Amino acid sequence: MKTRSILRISLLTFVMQMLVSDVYAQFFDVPFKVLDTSNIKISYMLTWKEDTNNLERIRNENMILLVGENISLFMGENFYNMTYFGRKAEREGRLQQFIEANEMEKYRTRFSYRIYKNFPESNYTYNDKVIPDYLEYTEDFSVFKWELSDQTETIGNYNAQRANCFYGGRNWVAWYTTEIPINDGPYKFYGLPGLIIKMYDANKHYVFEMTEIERYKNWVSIEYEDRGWIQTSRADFLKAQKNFKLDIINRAKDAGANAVSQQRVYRNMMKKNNPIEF
Amino acid sequence: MHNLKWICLFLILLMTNTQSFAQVIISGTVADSLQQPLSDINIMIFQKHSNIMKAFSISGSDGTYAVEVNLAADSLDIMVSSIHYERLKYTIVNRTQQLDFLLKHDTKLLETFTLRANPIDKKGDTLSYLITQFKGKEDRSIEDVLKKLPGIEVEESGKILYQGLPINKFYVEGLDLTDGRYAMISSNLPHESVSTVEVFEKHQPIRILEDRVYSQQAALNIKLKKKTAYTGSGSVASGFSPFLWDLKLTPMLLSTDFQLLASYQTNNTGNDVSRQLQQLISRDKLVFPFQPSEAIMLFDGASSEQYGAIDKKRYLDNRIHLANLNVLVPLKKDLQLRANVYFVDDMRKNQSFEERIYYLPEDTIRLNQNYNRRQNNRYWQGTFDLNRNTIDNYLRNKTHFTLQQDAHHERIVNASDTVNQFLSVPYHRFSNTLNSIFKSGETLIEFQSLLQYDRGPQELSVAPGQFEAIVNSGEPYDAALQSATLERFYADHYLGSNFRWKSWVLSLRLGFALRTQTLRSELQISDENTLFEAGESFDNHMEARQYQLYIIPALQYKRKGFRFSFDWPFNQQQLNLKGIEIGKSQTFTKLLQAPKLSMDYTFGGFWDLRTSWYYFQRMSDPDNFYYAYLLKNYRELIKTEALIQQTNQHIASVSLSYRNAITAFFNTLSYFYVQREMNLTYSMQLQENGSFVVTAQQLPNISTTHNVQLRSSKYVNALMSSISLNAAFMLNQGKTLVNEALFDVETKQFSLTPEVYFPATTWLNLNYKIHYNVMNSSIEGELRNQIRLNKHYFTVNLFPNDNQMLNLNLEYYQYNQTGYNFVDLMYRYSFKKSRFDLEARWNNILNSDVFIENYSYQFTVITNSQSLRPSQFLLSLKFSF
Repeated sequence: MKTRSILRISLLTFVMQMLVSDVYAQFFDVPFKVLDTSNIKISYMLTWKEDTNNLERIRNENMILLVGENISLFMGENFYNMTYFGRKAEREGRLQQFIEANEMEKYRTRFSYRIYKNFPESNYTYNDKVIPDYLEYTEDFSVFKWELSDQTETIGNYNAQRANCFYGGRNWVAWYTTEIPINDGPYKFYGLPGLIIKMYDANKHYVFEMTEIERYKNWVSIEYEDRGWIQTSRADFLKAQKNFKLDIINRAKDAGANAVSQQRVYRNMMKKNNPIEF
Repeated sequence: MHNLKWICLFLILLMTNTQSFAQVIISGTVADSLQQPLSDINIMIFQKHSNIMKAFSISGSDGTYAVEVNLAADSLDIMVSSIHYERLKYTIVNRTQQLDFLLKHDTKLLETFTLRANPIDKKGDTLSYLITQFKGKEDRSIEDVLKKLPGIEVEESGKILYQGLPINKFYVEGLDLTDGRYAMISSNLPHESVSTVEVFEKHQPIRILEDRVYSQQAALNIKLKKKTAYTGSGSVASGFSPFLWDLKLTPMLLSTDFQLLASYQTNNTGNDVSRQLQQLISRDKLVFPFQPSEAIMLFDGASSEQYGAIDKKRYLDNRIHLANLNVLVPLKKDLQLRANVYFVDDMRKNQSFEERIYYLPEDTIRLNQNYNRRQNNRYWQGTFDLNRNTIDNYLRNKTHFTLQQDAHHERIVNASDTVNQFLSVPYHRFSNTLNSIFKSGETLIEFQSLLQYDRGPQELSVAPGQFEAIVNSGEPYDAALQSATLERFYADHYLGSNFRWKSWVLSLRLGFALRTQTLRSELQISDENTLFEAGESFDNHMEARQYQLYIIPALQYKRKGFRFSFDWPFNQQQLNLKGIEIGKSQTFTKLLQAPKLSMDYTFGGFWDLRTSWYYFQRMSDPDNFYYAYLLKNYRELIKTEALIQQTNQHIASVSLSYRNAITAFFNTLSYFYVQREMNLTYSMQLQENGSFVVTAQQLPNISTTHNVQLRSSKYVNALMSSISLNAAFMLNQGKTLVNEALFDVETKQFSLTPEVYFPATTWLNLNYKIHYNVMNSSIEGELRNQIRLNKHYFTVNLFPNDNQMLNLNLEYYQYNQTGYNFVDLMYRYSFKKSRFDLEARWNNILNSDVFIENYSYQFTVITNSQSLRPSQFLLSLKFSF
């Protein structure tokens, strides 16, 4: 009896250790390349509705755009901070604490993508993790077919002009200002002569509003994490995301969730039925 | 230094045939003063004297641009602008032409500005919301009002977010009573008692970190209208059959200098509410790896919790009362005391039927037993948490006590006998942990301290007396009374830190632990109402003293796709054992090591190869050393001769996975191997009634386990389903010493589990799983037993809307040609009313009464039938006051 229980415990401990090392190995402290440097940070507040069956439920998250000379990076501010503080914790050997002691919870985010706009090459690179893989794709800026409009509006202190564009299954409205000659905008959007300061789709399910432009004294680097990204296409990426949603119970189970949590994850996932692109 | 202040603008007018206005193209190149082409420069065409842009072009990498203009005007405004170069604006004639620009470098400073002004009055980093302005008629709790405040979201779980981020503290009058479990307050506190809600933006709750660690999160502070507020919540549920109750009351008192949250819970519905406590304690174990076992358990009392495959709520027949008190008192400005006291009184009943088969080289022994268990756990538990939080000092000290009085009664009925076993296991523990993290230069140093004292004066009585041959010279007797008292003291302190060099990280922990303990035990025999001592060979009086000096270095190395880690704990132990009355003593000094190496390599994106090897040496716990016999339970009499058991174990593993998220195809193949070497072999003397006399013998013993597993899964679009397959093979080999015969035992197990998930719609999902399992037990190479088990599981989860849920489980088992059915249906409906919620729940509708499980190890095969709770219906009402 004794022998058996000892054996069982040690096997269990071992399996747990394997799982633990799986979770903790190289969480944030990943090798990276510096692609460019930036001293301009533009913040956007993203307001979105993730459940089309419950449009009352409105979510907010702050997004940032770091503009460099040749490359800009767009990502969630919380994700940026999670990566930054997570790496710091990992380097100080506090990773487990960071993850377990609810420290990571401070930077909880719905968005783990990064969008690098490469101006000289006229394209953007999008990468994200679709559990368990790291996927990446590149698309030309020519996919954004802008239609200019004569409509103008004053937003903040700026004269903004309207432009329309159909992308990713949605009709987008962009308000840009030629007064800020930074040809960039939220998300993947590029191709207008000035900064997009407000942008939304026709249903207003996704609304990006610029809140701040900060000019740093110090340059921050635009980093590219070397995660061994799997090169794919936009279509395949969307397919992976869709499959993840449909296969959610299976993946929750793989991650060790019990039957009750599997159902909870399923319910929650079904409420996230309004992706930005489809 | 070319600081020439000139702009050169060439206007080369290429005269072409005059065209209609519809087709004007303005093109050219853009370059800097050194004639280098400039890309990303905006060339914009405006209607003359207006700010409406009509057309534009952005120069390419060769500096060229071309703008098509469709305007009926004589002249146009053209503007050239970019971030790093000066802006130019001219009026030109509206006709196709080439314009080349030379631009001067100009780094204009973009001013910092905010576009969207915040409509809420903002003073420094604190926002204040006056509750009267936001409350509505239908709102009752402060949470209902919080949902309406701009920037604040409240999730279904009660978690509060400010601008998309969870808040890090929830204060009432600046005090944090609940330590994160604030939904208790926010969902119950009536908004009438609140005057203002304050939001502290970018709040750092640990003051020493204020200027060092930036916080993105906000905290909420509730300001009360009066000095003191009372509130609370509760729920009442009742049902049948038998008569069921589930009651919960949570009153609260909140004020500026004292806060209290109490709760009382009781139920007989199978809900083990005491689990809330266990989670709180087990965290410490990670911090001090060499800590003694959590509670003293000298006897192997029967536990009713060995059933893994089934939800505890299905069989737990309980009657529990739990009272809990949380108090928070600010002692000084930066010093807080939080006290948390629990009282639990838990009565459990359990019935099961067990078939045990022992396979021996010459014999097979079958044993059928009926168990009737009654367990009463009663304990007090308290934690006093003193927290000093100032700008230059952060310290946390926790004092904990447990006072436990558990009693178990077990009645075992088999063909020949009825045995009654009583177990009384009181347990007391006091402990103190101190944690402090401080900086030494750039390095963070952690200090941890643990002091612990515990004591367990425990008793076991078995009637009628067992093991009469050893205990009572072969004469039957009425009862055996085994008493044992263990008293332990443990002190552990360590310092830890981390160092980094390039891709290497070294973490180091250095500590010292001291443990002293005393064990006294004796066996008494009761026969014909007289009580007498069983004799010296049943008396233990042991003293143990253990010193442990440990150093735990851990090294990590990372490169792209490759990870390597190596931990190598060293533990220098000295153990001193004394048998006081028999005058024996021994001292062991031993350096124990536990190196662990792991490597992980990711390649081709989808592939991952992991390998690891782990070797550890472990000495048995001082709790298990005694020279004389100890009755562990009615079935087991043990004597370890104070022989030190040393276990050396190798664990090696390799796993290869291919995981493709795009095609949703996942595969993992893994193998692991375990080899255990012990210096001791436990010799079992099997009695006719199935009980054992266990003695330790100095005979090396090796056992090995091989395990291969495959898991594959694929989401199949055509079937709209996830399909998966698990296959596993396990081989366990070792030697067992029973009735003086040493023989080989081998268990082979093979299982195959195909499964399909069908997420039909957002409100319905189905799952079907087959589990096929074959288990072979062999003795000395001869197959002695085979268990074939076939299980079918079918599950339906239905969510017609947010307040309804239906869960149906159908299980069919085929166990060695016999079939069993198990059906379970759970339906829940929640009515949402303004002041209370009503919920109905019906479990185990088809009234299944047993659940069967089987295990096999070494030479034993066990089949256990566990009685389940009957069909029950429960109606519950939640309210606040």
